[in-house]
Amino acid sequence: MAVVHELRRPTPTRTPIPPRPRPSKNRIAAWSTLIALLLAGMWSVADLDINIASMVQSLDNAANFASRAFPLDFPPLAELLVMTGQTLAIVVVATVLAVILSVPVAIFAASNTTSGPLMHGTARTIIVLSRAVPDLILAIIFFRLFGLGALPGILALGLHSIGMVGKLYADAIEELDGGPAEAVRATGGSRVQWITSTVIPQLMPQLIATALHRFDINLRTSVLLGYVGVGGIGLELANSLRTMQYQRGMALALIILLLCIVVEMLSGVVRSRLLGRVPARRGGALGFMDRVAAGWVTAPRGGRELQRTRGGRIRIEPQWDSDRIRRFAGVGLTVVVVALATVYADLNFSTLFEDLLKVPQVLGAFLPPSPQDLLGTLLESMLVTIQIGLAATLLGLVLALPIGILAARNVAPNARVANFFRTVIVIVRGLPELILAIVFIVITGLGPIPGTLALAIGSVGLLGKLVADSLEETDVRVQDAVRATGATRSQVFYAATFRQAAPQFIAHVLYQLDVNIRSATLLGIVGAGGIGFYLVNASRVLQFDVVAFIIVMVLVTVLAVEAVAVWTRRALR
Amino acid sequence: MTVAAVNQTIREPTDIRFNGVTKTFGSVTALDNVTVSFAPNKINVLLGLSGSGKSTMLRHINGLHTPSTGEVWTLGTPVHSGGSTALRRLRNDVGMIFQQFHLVESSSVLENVCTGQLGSLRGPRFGLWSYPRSVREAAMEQLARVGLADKAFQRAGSLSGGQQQRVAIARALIQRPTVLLADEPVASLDPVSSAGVIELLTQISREENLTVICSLHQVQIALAFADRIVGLNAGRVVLDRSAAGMTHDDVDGIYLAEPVDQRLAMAI
Repeated sequence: MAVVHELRRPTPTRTPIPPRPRPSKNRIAAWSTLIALLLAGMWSVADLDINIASMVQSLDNAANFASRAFPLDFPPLAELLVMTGQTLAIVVVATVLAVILSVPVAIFAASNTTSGPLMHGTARTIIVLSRAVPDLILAIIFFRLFGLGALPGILALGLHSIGMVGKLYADAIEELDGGPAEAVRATGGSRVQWITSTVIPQLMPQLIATALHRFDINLRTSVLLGYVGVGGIGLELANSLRTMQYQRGMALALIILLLCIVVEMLSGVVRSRLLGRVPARRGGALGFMDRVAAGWVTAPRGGRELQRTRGGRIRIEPQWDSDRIRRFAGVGLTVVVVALATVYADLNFSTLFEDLLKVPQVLGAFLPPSPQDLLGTLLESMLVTIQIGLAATLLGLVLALPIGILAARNVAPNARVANFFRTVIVIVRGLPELILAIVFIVITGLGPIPGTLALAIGSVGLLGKLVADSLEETDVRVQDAVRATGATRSQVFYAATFRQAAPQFIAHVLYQLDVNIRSATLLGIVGAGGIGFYLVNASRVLQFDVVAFIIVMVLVTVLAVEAVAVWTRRALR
Repeated sequence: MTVAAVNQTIREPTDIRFNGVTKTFGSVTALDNVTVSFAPNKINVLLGLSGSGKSTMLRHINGLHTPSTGEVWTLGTPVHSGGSTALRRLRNDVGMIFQQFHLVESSSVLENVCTGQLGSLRGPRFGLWSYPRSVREAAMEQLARVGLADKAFQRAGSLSGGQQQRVAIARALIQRPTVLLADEPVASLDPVSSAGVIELLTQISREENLTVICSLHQVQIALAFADRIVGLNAGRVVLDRSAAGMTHDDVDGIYLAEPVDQRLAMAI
């Protein structure tokens, strides 16, 4: 009985509480970095004089802006079509070039298709470097090398795109199912054969979707490159703003805005179809057309036996059904567009060889990098560029956090609110930062404030989307578990939803900072403050040693920011 | 038997032979001093738990893996020392099918079958039209043989599992192989599709007089399908005998945690 008694009433023994593990040095350093960045962001906002008072002040300017910008002065239609065509031609050829160069780079950069550590390292270096060197800088160098024409712009956009396109392709290749490749290896296929027969076909949807995405980005950048002489609508915009023709400039800005939105919508439709996210069945007349189009030519179903042609040979061609016709039309249209763009871009290769012979001489003009007597000014404006990036990210975060949270379907009070804020995000994403910057410049005058505001609003588009996406990707079961304990809505949000998404938030904000500092160097050329202004000036007065010095400064900054961002993300994972 | 005589038998062109093969991946020993030979023109079935070394063994036969130590001879080719050209030539004579079919799902069925010919074609191929007409015709014939000529132009991913495995068989057959390796060919299929695929494999291997080496999970299917059964446990061969007259109980020893119990040691 005593034993039973003992069992029923065990003496309460205390489970010893293990000592709280001390956070690792890396984590402490990473959190310190984040806090330092936050403080730096706050300091930048204060130092750049971005506050309510100056906003109110500029409201007067807004009224002035209206009187200066209206009525809009549109160029004649024929002229408009010519410059739009020029822009589109350059962007199409540049994007095709980027894809053609990125595929081999990505194959060597992906760990499952690379040929060895040497090529892997080389390909990864090409990707990092081509992303680090801004297209603007490439354009300046290529203009020096090849003279005026479409070629410098195409090369600048195309080569810089490898950084993003190559990386996305490499990531996509690494995620592919390796089974088919093994099957082809097992039939005796060589490396080249299994790559072209299994990797490329599997990559195809991603390949086209990424190319279209990059096309959107290149279109925006090509307008910016107008400031250094890349032809098309951007050049006209730069010229009219430089000569203070604001009515013409704002008209062109409006057209660029519409062009960007139309292109983004088109590529969005194609992308979602390619990636298998077919839109829901449409109703009414459109739905009727869809259904007719889907089955307007159907191939007769062959039997299980061999089908023979009238000549008695085995039939190995598919029938022409509507699917195949549509596919051929799509491929044909793409080929025609690319061919037209190549012709229209009017590439002149006749002097290419001579130009390439000039490379040492041109490089000589850039070397050695020297600030001349501008060292103080250059360092100061580089600092301003970094401040713009920091301040824009902080302001963007303040705006994007509530918008992103309300856009997440699993957090927003109801579906209508979520849809509304999703739409807000999509619209903001459609606005080219350059156009925002120009509008703010016309309102507030030249300086870092318009640049910061433009980038801050631009950040809302990307950061808001990333915040909403990472909230929607959280594990619902954890939220259910917390809700089951009787927690309130806001308790569920903080304890389950936000807690799960927090590491991703930090990663996204660091990525946004990286992007904003890169963009800040570029926006300087339109007069939005920072180093870009001096970059374009120096190239205009042919001080190429100064250009080279600025390039080095920008490269060091961009690579350092990226390194900090990557390291912090890893340390907090 | 003298050493010379042993070498003579090893080099027999229809022979598949493992000679003291050990394969390690890092600290894991997948095959542990395996010596075994497979019966030519017969259906050899490998049985054993997951991780017992069945897949590793199959992949040594066509040189997708090479042994850490020991020798593998396939059809007179030394896989353990073969250069990439010799291995590619060998693989052209050895067809292989997989548990997950391993088709390019976004490509057409016919194109997937054509990829079986890559071993004897030069240069990269992309798209159905990059294959010679003769290859496309041969692919069509093989598809008709597995009963799927009507699906030739559909996306491979749109087919059912059983149909996809038939396409994979057609892809292996277009090579005109003398050996067919099958790595768990029915493990992802429902019982009805499994039976269909096994039936097709049996029929084809008899027609073509193939040497089949097939790993399986299901003992029941193995007993009905195999001419010969090889049991693996923890990378060692624990059973190797003709399947004729074997019962479920005879096979159970393979799956014991301790490899090589007394009875099985006697059997070997």
